Parts: sequence; structure tokens; C-alpha cells
Amino acid sequence: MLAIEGLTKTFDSVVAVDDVDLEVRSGEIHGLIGPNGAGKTTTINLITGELQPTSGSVRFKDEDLVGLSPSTIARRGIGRSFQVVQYFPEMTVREHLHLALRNPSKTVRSVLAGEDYTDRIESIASVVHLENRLDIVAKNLSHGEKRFLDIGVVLGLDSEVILFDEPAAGLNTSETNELRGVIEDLRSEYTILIIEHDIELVRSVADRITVLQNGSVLATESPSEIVNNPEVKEVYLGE
Amino acid sequence: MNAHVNSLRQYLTDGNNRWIGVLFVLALLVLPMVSQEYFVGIVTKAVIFGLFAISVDIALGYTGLITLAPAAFFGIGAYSVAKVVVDYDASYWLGFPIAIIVAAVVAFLIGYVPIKRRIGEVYFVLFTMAFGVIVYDFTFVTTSFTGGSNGLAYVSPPMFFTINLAETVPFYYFSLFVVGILVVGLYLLLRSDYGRILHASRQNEVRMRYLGYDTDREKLLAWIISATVSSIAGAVYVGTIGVASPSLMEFALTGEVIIWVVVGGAGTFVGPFIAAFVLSLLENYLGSVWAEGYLIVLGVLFVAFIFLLPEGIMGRLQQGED
Repeated sequence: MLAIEGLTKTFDSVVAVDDVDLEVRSGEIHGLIGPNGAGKTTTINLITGELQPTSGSVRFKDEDLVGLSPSTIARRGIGRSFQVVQYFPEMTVREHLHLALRNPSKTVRSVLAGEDYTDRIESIASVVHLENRLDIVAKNLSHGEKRFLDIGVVLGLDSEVILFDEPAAGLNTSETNELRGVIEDLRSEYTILIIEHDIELVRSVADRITVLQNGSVLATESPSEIVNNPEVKEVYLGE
Repeated sequence: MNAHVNSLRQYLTDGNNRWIGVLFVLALLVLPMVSQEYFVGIVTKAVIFGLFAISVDIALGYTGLITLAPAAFFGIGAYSVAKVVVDYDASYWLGFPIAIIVAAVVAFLIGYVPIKRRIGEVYFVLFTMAFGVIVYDFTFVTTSFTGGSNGLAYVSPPMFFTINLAETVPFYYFSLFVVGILVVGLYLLLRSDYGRILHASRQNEVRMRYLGYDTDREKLLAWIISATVSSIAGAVYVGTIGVASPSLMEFALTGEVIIWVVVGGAGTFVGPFIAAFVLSLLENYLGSVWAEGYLIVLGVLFVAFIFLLPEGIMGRLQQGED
């Protein structure tokens, strides 16, 4: 589904991502973990077109994404959430989902005929537990609700792959459990790459986990193998 | 289409807005029956300036593009009509499509690099400022083409079937018609998904791009619409004064329209229209009792609003409603 080969990104003399190979298989939840500065978010930024790689390829369904803009990649079917929640402070939850659901290419058509997405908006809102907050302006939501809104917005896109960048950051235990449930619910419909520092969350939802260290892949294994991998224990789990 | 008609209906039926809006339109319609022609001429200009302010609000308020070239596009509209009528003795109406095409092409050329290539917002400001200065100077130095400091005179609107648009009252209704059509059209446009896209892009362009939106394209389109509507306002305006002169492209007019937008409330649509309408009437009144007064009032208003009420009058009222 999503194949990354030899992905490298350097900033002057700093190698942020170093010859990374990563395959996210269709229908799997793939965890990407590593200590701070390991290159996780840079990798996501390279996949989504925010950054252009120094070398290497990013292929999605056999199409090379390198050189495409973030908006083009999003339209191709790769949605993402952000480490720092990205939302429109003055717009309601409903308006967020409306913008996500409409076809971004249809500017002129939208002027001629407004489309009604009420059913799908309510359906997505219910998946991310915001069904009672639809008409609340985003700046008035709690941090946890904003996180779920960020996920809901990604679900509004017609994505096949979702990249979650630290979705549990700033969530309390109960909200993290809710998030776990939401991700499990998405398993049957999406291919997911999740970056997360909450190792327990990743272990519980991921089919496979890749560990990055200093921009390179240390290991790609199942969750149970990863937690028993001596190298991973040493560099990441601190054992 | 129903969704947009509903949104218009919602606005028109929203309590005070409905009555204020309806009364304002009725007052404009009956004005020639209860007022002297001289005042009708003044209100004609005020209404056109209202449209001009809305056009600048599309760039400044809805899109966040700080343009220093509104007067240049206003002038392009005026000169397009004047050139066609005065130099080529062609149809007055031909000036309008020419104004639209010239403004759209020029806006595209100015806006493409700073907006699509994202070389920085400051360059957009500099590009529009440079363009405004160049066009203003151009009207002086190319005497054979623009009439130099004398401008192109006289532009007399033609007969429209049996109605003589060169007369004050018929031209007033003609102006009301053009402004009305454009104001309603722009209102529907900005209440549509397109308006939401601009609104959202101003708040968080990164999120919009990751929703698949080509925000640069939408901004460029908004900029072209803004410039084009400015040129239509100028094209109508030249019919009220009969001459296209460099003063229509002066930076002073750019400063004036920006202040109207700030005072009315950037991004509020109706606010800039009302501010332009009221302040241009005030200009006319002060012109006869205190010649320098208008500029002083504008300067004070600008500073006061920037420091005390940056969201403008309508912006504050809307916040109150929220």
C-alpha cells in the first residue's frame, strides 16, 4: 500500500532521516516509534509532501509521491493528523467536517450548488465522540476534543491511508482509552501509520512496529517481538 | 443553489438585519423622488464606493492579502470605459468587458508569483505597491494614450432604449442596479463553500492543504475577483464624473478604501460597504464646511480603529452576536 525505500533527508550536515525502508501493508496498523529526534515526524512530513527527500522514494499504490504537494497527496488518499492539533478556531465542528467531506477540486461547482453532508457529518462525529458538539466553535473545545476533531477531519477525507502523528499527546488516561477504541474501530476501513510515544497504546493497536533511532530503522517486528528486542530495549525502552 | 438562497434568506430574515437592510434599499430606491438631483449624484458615488470597499474586503478581509493597488484597478476600470468612448468612439458598454479582462489579466500577472510561488506575503504587498505607483505614473507620462494629467474626457453614458443614462437619476438607478447585482452575487459567493474555504484558509492554511485544498489557487482566484470588481466599480464611477484622470489612481484613494474597510470591519462584507457609504457622504459634507476635515477625520479614525477596535464596527457587532 505504502512503500518507502531508501528515504533520506538531510538539513545541511544533519541527517534527519537516513536510508529508511518502511512498508505499510494494506489494512494494517503500523506503529512508528523512537526517541525524540529519531526522525518520526520528519518521515511523515516526507510522506505527505511537507518536505522533499534528499533521496529515496515514497510509493503509494505504485505511484511515486515525491515532488507532489501536500494537497495533491491528500487528494490521492493519504490523510494525516498533527502532533500539534491543527484546526480552524472560529469554525464549528460541523464546518470542519463539511470542509473535509467536500471535494476540494470543486470550487466553482460549490458556488452553484451547496452540497448537503449532514448524514456523513453526524456519522463521523459519532465515531470520534463529538456528536453532541457539532455546533461548538473549535476554540471552545477541550484539548481532547480538539484531538478527536483532528481525527474526525481526517476521516472526512476520502483517505485510504491515515497517518497519525502522536494522537495521544496531551490526552488523559480516559481519553487515551477512547482514542484506542476509535483506532480499533478504524482498523477494518483504513491502513494506518501511527507515531506515538505512548508505547502501551501502540502495542495494543499495532500489527507491526518500526523503531527509528537517529534517523535509521532499528527494527520492524510485531509488538511482542519489539518489546523483547534487546536493541530496542536498550535504546528506547531504557532497559 | 437552494442552500445559497436559504443562506441569503436567513441573513435577510435575521431580526434587525432584515429591517435595516430592507429600509436601506427602500431609501435608496425612493431617494430621487424626495431629494435634489445634486444629492442623488453624491449618493451614486457613495454606492459605487461601497462596492469598491467590498471588492477590497475580499482581498484584505476574506483572503488576508494586503493590497496597495485598489486605486490602480479602480482606475483601470475607469480608463477602460473612457478609452473606448473618448478615443475610439465605440460603445460605452464595450468598456465593461475590457475593464474586466484587463483587470483580471493584470491581477493574475501581479498575484501569480507572490501567491502561487509563495515567496512571502511581503512581496505581494511590494508588488501591488509597485504596480500602483507605476500605473499612476503611466497615466501622466503616456499623454497620447491616457490624456496625461488632463485624463480622458468626456465620458457620457449612452441611451438605454428610451432612457438617457447621461442624466443623473437614470444613471443613479443604473449604478444601483450594477452595484446591487454584484453585491448580491458576491454575498452568495462568500456565503458559499468558497467563502468557507477562504475563511478556513485564513485561520489555518496548513490544515487546509492537508485537506486537499489548493489554497494558493483559491487565494489567487479571490485576488482576481477582488481586482475585477474594483475595476467594475471604477468603470461605473467614470460615468458619474465624465472624466478618467490620474486622480482615480492616486495612492490617496487606496489609503481611503483601506480605511473604509478597517473602520467597517475587514471580512464582514457589509461593514466596509456601510463605512464607504457613510464616509464618502461625510467627505462631501465636510468639503463645503471644512476642506481639510475629511482627511483629518480619516487619519484619526484609522489610528483609533487600529488601536482600539481593529475588528471594525461590524466585526465588533458580530462578536457581540456570537
